[in-house]
Amino acid sequence: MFERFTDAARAAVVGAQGEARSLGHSWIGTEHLLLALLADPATPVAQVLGRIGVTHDGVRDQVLRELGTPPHLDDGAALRDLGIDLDTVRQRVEERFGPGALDDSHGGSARPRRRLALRRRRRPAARCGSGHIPFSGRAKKALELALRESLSLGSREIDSGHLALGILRCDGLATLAVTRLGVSTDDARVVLLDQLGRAA
Amino acid sequence: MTTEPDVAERATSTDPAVGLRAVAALRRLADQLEALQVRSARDQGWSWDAIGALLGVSKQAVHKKHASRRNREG
Repeated sequence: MFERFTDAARAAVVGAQGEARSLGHSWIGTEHLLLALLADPATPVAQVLGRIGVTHDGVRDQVLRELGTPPHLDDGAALRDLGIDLDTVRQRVEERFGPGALDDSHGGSARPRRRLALRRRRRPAARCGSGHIPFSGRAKKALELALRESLSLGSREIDSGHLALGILRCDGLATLAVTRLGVSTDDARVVLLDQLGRAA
Repeated sequence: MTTEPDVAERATSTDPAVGLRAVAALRRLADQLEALQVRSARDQGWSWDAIGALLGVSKQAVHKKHASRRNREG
């Protein structure tokens, strides 16, 4: 399926891993896919969604509000208080062990507990240093729906716009975040379809 | 004469919330570094016994903590 993805759409799927990791999450959900699509404000999808108020920071805030802020996000400040510069540690580790080496290494840190009942079936802990984080059922569904969106629009490729449409079709944390930002998923669809129309 | 920033600094340094958060952060960092170093040692052919000796724990303890993780990674 991924062979039909454009470079931009593929970058978003890869980027979703980084988004999940930076939040300390052990799954890739629709929220991480959406965050990855919004990460670079210069991309067409981030631009059209940004114009109606859906931004990376906004979505991230909503996700953290929903799931709670994982304690490790404050570690930099807490360690600075002890005279340890986490960025320097990370930099040295990456110099010796490669990019992402520290963040890919999980100790026994607790995973954030979900506060609200958006139920997902998740297989227990495929956490690891190999960098692979499993997709949630919803995120997989969103990828399927992206394919369907591209087919129904007569496109041979799955672009980031189709991916965004697929994500918005899938009720999950991404749509919850968008709605909480005061944007209806229908409005988001309209601007995305418009952008895809112009790109075609 | 005591200036205001001094007072503020002393107040926070004895604040358990700050201290405990720092301990938790330090532990997470230590855990991450341990996982990284153990993996690296195993990749370089180190025995669990040798790794445990340097970490100050038994080979069983270090094996129990890290071996399953490696297996899951495949």
